[in-house]
Amino acid sequence: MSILTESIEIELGASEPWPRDAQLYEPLETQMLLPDIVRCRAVEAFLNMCHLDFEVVHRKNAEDMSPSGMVPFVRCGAFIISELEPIVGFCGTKGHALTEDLSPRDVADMRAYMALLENTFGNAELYMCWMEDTVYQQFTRPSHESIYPWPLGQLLTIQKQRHTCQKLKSLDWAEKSTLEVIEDVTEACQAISEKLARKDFFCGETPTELDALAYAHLHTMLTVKFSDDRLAEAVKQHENLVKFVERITETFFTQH
Amino acid sequence: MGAVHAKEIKGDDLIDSNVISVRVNDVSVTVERIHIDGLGRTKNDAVVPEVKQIFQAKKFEDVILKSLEAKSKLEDVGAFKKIQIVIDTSKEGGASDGVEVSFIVEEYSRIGGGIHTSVGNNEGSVVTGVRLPNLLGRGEKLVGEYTYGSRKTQGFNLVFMKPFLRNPGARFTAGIGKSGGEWPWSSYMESDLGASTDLSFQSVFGLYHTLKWEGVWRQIRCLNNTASFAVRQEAGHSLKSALHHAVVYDTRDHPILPNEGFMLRLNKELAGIGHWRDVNFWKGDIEFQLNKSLLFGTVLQGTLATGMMQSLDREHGPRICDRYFLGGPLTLRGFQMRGAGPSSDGDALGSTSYCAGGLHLYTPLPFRPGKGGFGDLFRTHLFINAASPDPFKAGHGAEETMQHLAAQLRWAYGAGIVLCLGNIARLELNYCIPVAFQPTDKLNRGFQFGIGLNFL
Repeated sequence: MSILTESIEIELGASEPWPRDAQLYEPLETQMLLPDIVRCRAVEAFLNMCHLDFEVVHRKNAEDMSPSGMVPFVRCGAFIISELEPIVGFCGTKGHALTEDLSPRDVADMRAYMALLENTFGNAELYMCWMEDTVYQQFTRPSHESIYPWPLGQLLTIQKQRHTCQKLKSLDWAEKSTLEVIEDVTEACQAISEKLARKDFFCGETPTELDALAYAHLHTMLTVKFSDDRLAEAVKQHENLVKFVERITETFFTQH
Repeated sequence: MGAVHAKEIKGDDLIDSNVISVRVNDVSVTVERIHIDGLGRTKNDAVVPEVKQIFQAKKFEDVILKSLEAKSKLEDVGAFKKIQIVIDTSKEGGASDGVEVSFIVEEYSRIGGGIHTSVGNNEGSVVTGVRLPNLLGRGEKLVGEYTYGSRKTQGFNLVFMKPFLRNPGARFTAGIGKSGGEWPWSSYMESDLGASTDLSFQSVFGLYHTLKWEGVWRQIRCLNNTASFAVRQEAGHSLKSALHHAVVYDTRDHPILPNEGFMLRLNKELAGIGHWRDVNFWKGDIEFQLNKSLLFGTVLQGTLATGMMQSLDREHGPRICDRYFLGGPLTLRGFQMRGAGPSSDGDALGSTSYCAGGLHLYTPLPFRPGKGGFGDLFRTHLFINAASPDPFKAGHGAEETMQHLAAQLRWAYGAGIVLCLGNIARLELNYCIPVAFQPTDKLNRGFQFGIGLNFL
């Protein structure tokens, strides 16, 4: 499908309101790795912030079902949209946007922070899962292998690891040591901690997609337990970030 | 190929003055020696038993017949390019009526190769291959092939084949391979990587069995973003470990354009063998074809086929790539490929059971052009074919099944030309008129063209 027809379909879809039976497809909980948990949590947080109804559906093959090959994806009537940014755009066309009150400058600022989160936290999570040996052996490999019988699980894990390593190599992350990765995370935590300061949300009085994304990363780093808890330590140094995570969980996830 | 310069003379045939006639069935001989010349890497035990029985011949005619029989057995070994028989009087024998039989053989070269085209069900492909015949000296063969298809499918396979020389027709095959295909009618593509091993043999009453195990890693991907959600749910990986058993009884005089005889084929499949329960179902199919010669070279052919499968997995029904699909130019004519049966947003989803049948009246081409040669590869035919998807449902009695079958019945009739291709495939050009169909079916009214191996 061309970009044109895709955008026309999204335009047409805009005229319909958000359906009551929207579904969010995620992998099985046992199979989700750090980056998947973050992506799913971010979309859930965003949809909750928009007060949109959805039902979470767990599927073993969610990644294969997704048009972009990434989880999660939303099934909304005839539309299937995957990943946070396209979902944000899609909700925007239906009149559910969180950035309407922001000035263009603030929106640009927000986008820059989102890119920072993706480039540091996102890559650090990939690195820890697939390139940090103890985490890979104790956490990533068993959970990624478990969903398919031998030898398919093993083959797919090797395939995925090779693919991820190539991606990190092209981003110049493959040569880093674990220590350098933790340092990058610590620096990024410092930066967003300063951005958040003593406010409730990153941009003004109401939450935005930056809050959804930052929350997903921070919450996951704090709560997911594996042998290496240096990621959690890096977040815990900043009290306002820990409070932020608690606040978002309280406001947007407890009644759900 | 070898030639034997002798013939049986019946009664008092006219005798040319230069030719001495001998009644070969009267001449007593003793076979003293059998030579096999030209054996290189072929093992003795692969050829000796095949020729040994010539020693039992007492008459010259027997020697000739047994030699020819031995020659055809040697050909079956698959080790020789050329076999020639020479029968001569024994040079150094004790007996006065001693003869020697020599087989002059030429072995295949160690490595062969080739490029050819092949035709599958609605797909043509180019196949390049390397062959190692008679690998270990007993007719074993190793074949490697790379395939590129007209629907952009790519694949390779590596097959080792061993004939069982004491049991004609029996063989063992093991191989690995990768194949792929696009199914635009269902908006998905499938790529398979797997290994299989099978054993074929003939049992009592001329039943031909094939026992096969296969282990395949299958990946299904949506062809585009507009694929229906039902197909999208099927995307992903699966590992299938299955046992197949096929038994065929075939009395037809030709596999593609028979005049007489019938064929019965039973297939059974159990998937989920060993600890690979990822794909877990059983499946059974029956196919029956009956041919009857009528007046003036016309042939009446009736075909019935049915099959069903049941998932043994509580979470998963049979996957899309295992299900039955109806419709196509050689099966349910008048419908597009996968054009009949359950669908979602225009994507064929397949059924878990089916019933189909066809009735053909074949006649030779009008005025019989090319009779006795090329023209015999063609037939014209009138046909009626019908099919019904999902007639068998769990918990349905015979009456409900018949009702459902009738309600879901699709049928079409028409006429056309059939061409037999290389005794394995056929090509048809038909004019089709669909009569009964469902609103979601994809019809093919008018001319329809198809090539394929399987037909109804």
